[in-house]
Amino acid sequence: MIRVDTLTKQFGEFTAVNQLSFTVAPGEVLGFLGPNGAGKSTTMKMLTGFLQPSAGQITIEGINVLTDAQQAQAIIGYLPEGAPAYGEMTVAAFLGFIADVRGYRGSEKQQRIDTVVAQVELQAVLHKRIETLSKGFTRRVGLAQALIHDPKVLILDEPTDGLDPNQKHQVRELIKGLAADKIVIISTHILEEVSAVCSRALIIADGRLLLDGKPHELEAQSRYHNAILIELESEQEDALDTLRSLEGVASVDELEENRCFMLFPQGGKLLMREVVRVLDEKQWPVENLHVEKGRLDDVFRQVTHEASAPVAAV
Amino acid sequence: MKNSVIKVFAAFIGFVLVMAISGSLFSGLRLDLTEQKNLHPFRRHQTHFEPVGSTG
Amino acid sequence: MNSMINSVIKRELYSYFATPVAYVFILMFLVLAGVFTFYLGHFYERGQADLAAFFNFHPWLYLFFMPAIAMGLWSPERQLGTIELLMTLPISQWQAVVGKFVAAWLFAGLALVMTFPIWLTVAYLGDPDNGVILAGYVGSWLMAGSFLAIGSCMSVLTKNQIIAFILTVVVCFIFMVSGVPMVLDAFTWAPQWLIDFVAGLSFLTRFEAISRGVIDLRDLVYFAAMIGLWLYLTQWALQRSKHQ
Repeated sequence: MIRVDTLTKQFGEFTAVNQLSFTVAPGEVLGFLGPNGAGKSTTMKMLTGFLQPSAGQITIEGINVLTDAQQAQAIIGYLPEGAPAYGEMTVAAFLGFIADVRGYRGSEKQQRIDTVVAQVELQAVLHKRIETLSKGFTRRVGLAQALIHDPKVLILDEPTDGLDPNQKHQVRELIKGLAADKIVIISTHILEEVSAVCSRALIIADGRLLLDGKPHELEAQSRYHNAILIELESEQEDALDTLRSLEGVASVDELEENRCFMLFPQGGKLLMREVVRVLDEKQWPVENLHVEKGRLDDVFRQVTHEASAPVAAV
Repeated sequence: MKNSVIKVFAAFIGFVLVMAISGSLFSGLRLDLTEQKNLHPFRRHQTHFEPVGSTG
Repeated sequence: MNSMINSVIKRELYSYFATPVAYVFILMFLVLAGVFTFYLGHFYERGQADLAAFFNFHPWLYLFFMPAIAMGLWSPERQLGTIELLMTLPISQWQAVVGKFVAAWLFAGLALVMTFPIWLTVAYLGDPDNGVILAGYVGSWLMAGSFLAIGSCMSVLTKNQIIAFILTVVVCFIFMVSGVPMVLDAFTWAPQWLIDFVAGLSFLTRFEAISRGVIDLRDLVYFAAMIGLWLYLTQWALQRSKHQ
């Protein structure tokens, strides 16, 4: 269990994290979602005991991180932003050092190293110097070091940043495959990652918590949630007006004059029955009919725009 | 912030105190490793080598 | 507790020798020590079977070589971000500070030990006072530790290794010349105990004392206190950046 209570961090005049409060239970994969500079990394640095908060409390599995940081660090696996590592060391030597620090000795140490090397597939580069590795491999080394002691809590700062789609997929699969009794917190500004990996998301901007919910709950907040896309084979003069008049329709966007429309429901209502009825009644030739899922980036932009006044396009 | 500056002063003052106290307390406590007190010119073998740049 | 420090020491030493830098460093140190001793120190011309010519130059060698070691203790970690990795492992700040320092000190000790051919040389040429020479090595190593402790503190203060180097040289220089007659002359107005105290702050004064062959407990206390002070300040600087 992680409990964060009115966490605040100020750098001089600038408030990076502003009274953030949330809890995370074992089994959850929590996503910190927010624009760059939102305070996600700063929050993680405080969770892992690297930075001291200006105010607030953090308790991890009953341990007060502010006073007993080392105790907390023993059960946390952390991958900092950019996956820093000692470049002149080989992967094997580096993991050996981490295993040493984590208290492993002898055959158990070798076992732990072998386990994580297999988990993130580092066999091929085990004896290469880390500074010679590609970004993808360096990231995997960082993951390996975070996993080596099979920690209860895993905190990953932008774990797929800068990776190609294959590598992104591998990392996400790895996260999903972790044991169900762990607490995982990842930060990202890639929205699809949240849907792909997280069981819950916090939208953070300007140091403040804006939204907290499961991905599908957040999607439901989008105006696109349950919106219906209609594409007609040929132009119909009265289509726009007819669709606008349907019960439960909040608005209609005409995507292609008289041919292609997006119907936005009031309050996420299900419009399909009405739409099917009207299409049958008017006998319009339909090419495509499609119900939209809520768009996270829509919610994201909406929520982060409201929070901070004039903001450049996200 | 002030608290941390005090720590620096305290550290230096502590250092000075340690030096002062040990200065009076420990005078006379020493380990003499010397073997003989005489200077040791090189042995007479010195004719077997020549310092660089010297004449004959 | 100790095992953490050992892990850090091991890792540091691994990094030292993972690149040619360490070997080049030791080689240069030995060559320069040799050149200073035999040419600048007129070792042969002196005709004495002692290593005064050798030890005289240590403070000046260290003024360059020790900051060069120390600048790599913390600055690169801050620059490259590995400090975030190190300080989120279950290692206390103090353990990290001590571990890095000890590794550097052992490395300096290695360079010092590798000058043993000079000892062999003088033992072959004459009948040296080996006790005095041993004391010289002990004093030199302690002095090296003091330089490194200062350097450790300076390198936490900046991401830039060059600046760390320069800061270290400056501070070490101050601690060297506080014992030099020219500087002490400026204190003629002061009471004798103050003059003695200022002189006693100097690496030169203390090292010279030990090199005569008599290890005074007060000199040991001096070096221990110096190292302790600057390692404490190193940790202080680390702590400050955590709260920053």
